[in-house]
Amino acid sequence: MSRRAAAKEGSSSAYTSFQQKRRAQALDRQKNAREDKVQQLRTLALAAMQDDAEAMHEDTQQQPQNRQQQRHRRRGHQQQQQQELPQDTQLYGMDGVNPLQLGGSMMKAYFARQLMQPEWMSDIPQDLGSSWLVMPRPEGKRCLVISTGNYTYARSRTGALLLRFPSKLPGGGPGTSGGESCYCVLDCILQEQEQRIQHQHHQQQQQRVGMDADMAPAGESTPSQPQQRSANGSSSSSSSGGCTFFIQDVLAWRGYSLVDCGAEFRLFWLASKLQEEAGSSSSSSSWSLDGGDPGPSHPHRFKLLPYWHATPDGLAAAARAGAAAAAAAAAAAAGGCPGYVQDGVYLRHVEGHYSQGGGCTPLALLWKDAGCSRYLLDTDGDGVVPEFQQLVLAYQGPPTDGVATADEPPVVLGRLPQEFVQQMGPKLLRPGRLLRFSIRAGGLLFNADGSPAGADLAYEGPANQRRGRADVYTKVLFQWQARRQPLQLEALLAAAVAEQQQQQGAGQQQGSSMADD
Amino acid sequence: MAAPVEVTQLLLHAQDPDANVRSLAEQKISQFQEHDYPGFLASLAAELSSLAKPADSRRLAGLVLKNTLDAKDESRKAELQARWGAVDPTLKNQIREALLSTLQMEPQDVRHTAALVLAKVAAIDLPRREWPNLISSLLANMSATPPHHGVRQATLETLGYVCEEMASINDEVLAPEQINMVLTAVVAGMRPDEPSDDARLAATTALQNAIEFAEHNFDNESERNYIMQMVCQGASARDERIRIASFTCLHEIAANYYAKLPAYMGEVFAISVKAINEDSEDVGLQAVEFWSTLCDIELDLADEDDPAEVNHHFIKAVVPHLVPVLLKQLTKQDEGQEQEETAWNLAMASGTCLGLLARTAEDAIVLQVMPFVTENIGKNTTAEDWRLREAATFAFGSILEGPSPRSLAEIVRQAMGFLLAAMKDPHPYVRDTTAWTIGRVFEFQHDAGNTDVPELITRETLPQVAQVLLGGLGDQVHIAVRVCDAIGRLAEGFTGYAGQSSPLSPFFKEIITNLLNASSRSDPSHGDSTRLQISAFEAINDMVRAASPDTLDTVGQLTPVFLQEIAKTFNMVTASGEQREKQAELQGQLCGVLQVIMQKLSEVEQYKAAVLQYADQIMETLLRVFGNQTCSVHEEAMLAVGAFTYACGRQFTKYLPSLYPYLKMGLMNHQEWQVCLSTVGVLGDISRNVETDLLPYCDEIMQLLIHNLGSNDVHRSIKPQILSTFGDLALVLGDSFEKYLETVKRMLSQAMHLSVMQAQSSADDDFLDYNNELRIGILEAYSGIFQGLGPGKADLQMKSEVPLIIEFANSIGRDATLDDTVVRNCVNLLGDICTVVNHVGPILRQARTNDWEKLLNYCSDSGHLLGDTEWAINAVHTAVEQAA
Repeated sequence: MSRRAAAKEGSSSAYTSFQQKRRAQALDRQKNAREDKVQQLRTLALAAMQDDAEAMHEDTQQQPQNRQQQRHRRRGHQQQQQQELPQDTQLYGMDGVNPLQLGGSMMKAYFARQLMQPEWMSDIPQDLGSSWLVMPRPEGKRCLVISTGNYTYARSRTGALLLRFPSKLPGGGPGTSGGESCYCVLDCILQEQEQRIQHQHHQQQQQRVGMDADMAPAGESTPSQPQQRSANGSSSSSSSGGCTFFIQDVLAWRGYSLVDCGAEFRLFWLASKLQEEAGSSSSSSSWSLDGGDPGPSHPHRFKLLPYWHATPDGLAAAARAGAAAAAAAAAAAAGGCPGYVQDGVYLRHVEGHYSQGGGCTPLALLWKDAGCSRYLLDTDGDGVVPEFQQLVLAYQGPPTDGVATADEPPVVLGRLPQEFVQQMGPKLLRPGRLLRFSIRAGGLLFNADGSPAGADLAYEGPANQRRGRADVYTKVLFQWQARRQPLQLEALLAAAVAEQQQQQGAGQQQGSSMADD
Repeated sequence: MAAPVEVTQLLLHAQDPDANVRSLAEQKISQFQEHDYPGFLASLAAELSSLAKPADSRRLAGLVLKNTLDAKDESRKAELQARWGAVDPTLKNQIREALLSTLQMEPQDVRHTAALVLAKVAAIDLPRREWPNLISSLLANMSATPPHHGVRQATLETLGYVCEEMASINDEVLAPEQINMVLTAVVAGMRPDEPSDDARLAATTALQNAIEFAEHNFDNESERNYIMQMVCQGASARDERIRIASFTCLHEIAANYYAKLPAYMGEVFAISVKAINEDSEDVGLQAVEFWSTLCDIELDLADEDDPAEVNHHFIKAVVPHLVPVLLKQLTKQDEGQEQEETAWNLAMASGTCLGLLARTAEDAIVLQVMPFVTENIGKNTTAEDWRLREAATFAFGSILEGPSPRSLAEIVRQAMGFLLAAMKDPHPYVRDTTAWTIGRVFEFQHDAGNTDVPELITRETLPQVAQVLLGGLGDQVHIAVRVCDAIGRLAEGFTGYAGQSSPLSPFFKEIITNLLNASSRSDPSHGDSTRLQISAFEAINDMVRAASPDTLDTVGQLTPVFLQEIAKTFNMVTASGEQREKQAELQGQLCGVLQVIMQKLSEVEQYKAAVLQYADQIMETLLRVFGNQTCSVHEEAMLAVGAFTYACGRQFTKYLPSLYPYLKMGLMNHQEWQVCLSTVGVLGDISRNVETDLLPYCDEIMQLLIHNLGSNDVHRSIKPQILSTFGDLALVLGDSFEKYLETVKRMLSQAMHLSVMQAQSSADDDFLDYNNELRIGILEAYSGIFQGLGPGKADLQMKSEVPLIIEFANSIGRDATLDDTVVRNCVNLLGDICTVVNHVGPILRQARTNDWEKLLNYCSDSGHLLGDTEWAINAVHTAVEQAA
């Protein structure tokens, strides 16, 4: 008589029903926790995919996604952000923006503003030897590396997510020490695996053919390999696989922000912390400054780039560091430290803070000559140096219809003719659209004080919108000079030597004056 | 040919009062069975069918024979049936003939035994088409002239038992003409002019089992009319047993042929009311049960809302006529029945039926019942008037579920004061029913989170309510139990209360303290206070679950209290098995409270510390509870560990070494499947919290899980949960899960295959539910794996699985009715795949069918699923568009 048990909810079987309730509660908890966990990863994977899709949409000028998609993307990004952004947002909040309130492509733009943007060196600083640090600059993809919540994220200059992977960086992988507040943010050059193999191959050739051999299209304007493939490569390859992140700067270490510190301090801090990390690690070979074999818990290598004061010796060492590293890599057995192909040097003022916000800082400079770069002059997609210097400028929109550099404020180098604007139509020619030009016979034009006045421009076609931003003026200028009167290593050395001599002279004077006391 | 051996003495000795003689005989019997099975069967059959033997040993021979053909345990049963199947056909025939001939022989109780054995042989032989003339032989007994009542009775019994066996086989074993002949014989035996009451009873009982097979006969109006006429006439037979059996037949008919009932409802109503009013209690109970059954059927129909199934709404129509009849029965309480948990009489059955009528007829019941309530609830002129007060209260309590809260709100508000006062009624049964009714009022009418209905319990009314309830905790134990329940429902109603403080907060501490006192009450007048203890603990659990933020400090203080309570249990006397069981049960309840407390505190970040300050003590206590059992793992303690992990987070790692042996033991406990199931779930909790720290144990854990998945000894409910746990582990182990990937992929593809095959073949509800559980397990496992591996690796390692998974999704899409949870999980998995695997679009386009699209559309069209799945729908669309 089944009703007997149910009558007045007789509690003869109460215990079992109460227990059942607790079981159900436990199951609920488990189910929710499981969904939360999977949702965390979902939003990250989703954001990565949408970054790609977004770029593709821009490239091919497809119809904007429907509103639902955009709405969703916003949500996905926000969730992802909570994951990826360390709780201490002061590090990022340089302009009072709370990044957690950003969403969608805003977030990409936000990350894009984090990397310090150097200028190109057109004049040699007066205090080069005494106040600047010099570091070789490997070919590869500049990226922001964030380790937090047991994952490490690499984001491109445009803010797009390139890779998510575990690493031995604090907070960057399972088993790394530190709590939730433990995170690191690094400024790196990513050398993808194919790139590396290709370059090793290239270097072997170089040894035969000579330093000037120029055989593969690459350089800044070269589209890089799709990121997915490189991630696959890392898992399928043996111990020598994986990408290499060449660390060139640090924004935060173990939750401690360094953006307000001088460059010399940052690099010193970074070097000593990496040393500690390598020392404290139980198996020091698995995390090492010189690379070490990637393993399942750290599929990619990190390597701190060497740096010197920009004295004559330092400059000379930095200019040939790539060749030295390649030679060392060739000498070492497979799986040793990775070599790289050098693309000039990166100079920073010893006291320069890590400047953020998207604009260029004059306290960080890029320089290269034919001796330390395969591509002194920019090449086109086929690796050929075009007849005329190419540049990418952003259309400013009506009423001026100017085309300008990415500087803040932008440097307007020309205006689009009225009929051209009408012909293109507002659909193709939205404000902010990137256009490719060449500089013709009239060249760059300057005002009397040397400030830019314009250029003799010819329209070449739409630029790859995915690159995110136009060229900066100093780059245009550097390329323009490189075609005419390149700034050679010798000139830098000479300036540093002159400065040294001047200082010694000053020191002697000072010394003698002190002796007078 | 096996020669029969004389077994009379052996069988008689097996019943000897002397234990030594008995066990020796039993031993010999089982030796005989093992060493010479054919001889054993032949000897038993010979004994049973030998008129010369004593009736006792013949009956025993029959029972032993029956036990060689059937067992409760399914695998043992299959073994026994296979053994009979392998017996030499000649011997089998010999035994069958012996059984049939026994039906012809006196005495009646041996015939009855033979009927039981015959049905067991038929259960094996008929599906194998091995006893074609059984039915015709039996029918010959029925038409023999002159009729022999005893033979007819035993034959009808046999037919009934055979039908019962066939019903459980679930296969069309009997041919339509055989069913037709059986029914004809059975219904013929039910005629009022059947001279033997015993035979008529046997026929009526046989019909109960045969009704299921009578579909054709019920389709035919004249046959149906005849069967119904025989059944209804049986309801007024001389013999009470026949009247009872006739009503039982009506339950079966209603359950099987509800759609065909309209023509007969008038007569059925008349005979049932007559039975309730005038017949003996046993017949009346069956008549009430008919209406309860009808309510069940119409509730199911309303629930399923399938347009193909007609709902005649008999209950709505009958309410005005039936309710007065039932209300009258409510006053027929037995004196002191409130003390007896399982009391069942016309009053209880009628109240229960009234509750079902209320759920079926909903608002329509209120007006029918309320006049009776208001007229009688305050009656107090004679000593017997407590019956009226109790009946009125019971009636009121019974109709609280079903009618809309709106239609009852005002009535309940007015009744509240009356009910609270009635908690002081001089008669304990009235107080008992009042406490029950108050609990029901809270359960169905009190929900502070529901803004549609005005609040029943406010800050103004709660003080009086609390005072009355706290007083009730000191009443007789059976009343205190109901008060605990009412407190639980009261708390539950405040669960949805938003804000820092609920109206319950000021009383929180006092109520908990009183419940704790009640739980430790030992009432000399009532020997067993276990019920009160259980109810008091559960009320505490409900209080804790409903605790608002301003009472969490008090909840935090309960942790050491219950740790101490658990510690006390280790001092209990545990000499006997019963005492040990009692100890384990109490520990279970206490661990249950601890679990609820920890879960509540862990939900609020700042209160995790309230748990963590006792962390070592909690774990030591739980480990001690585990250690207290030798061969089993305490399930409640295991669930408490699960809740504890959320307070600890990664710090739980330090307890892994000491917990691990019990975790392992739980995973290997296949007998107590609930323990195993809970352990698997807790393993998921642990993995989420300690993440990769679980790695050192994972090889063994995975081995155990994989073993469980493949084992037939493991309860099937555990298997989907294991699959989900694979997902949990994959999610937190990331790359370290790769070494298990091949095996897990294999298991998942087997599980998918099984699920797809089963989805095609069966439509049984129970099975559909299980298949959905299995699907969820599979889907959760894959989601965990895809997301755990992440974009690069998933593409490399899992892409080959994608076509299989899409086929699996197609199989889900082909369901006649889609299950929300399954669909949500499936669409999310497709989203996972499209985000972490490259170029899924072409695979989706190339799938054999695109039933998976139905799942996406289902989510798009559903308001409540869209939020959770929109991202996935977009991801899938993007992937497909890119392939275009």
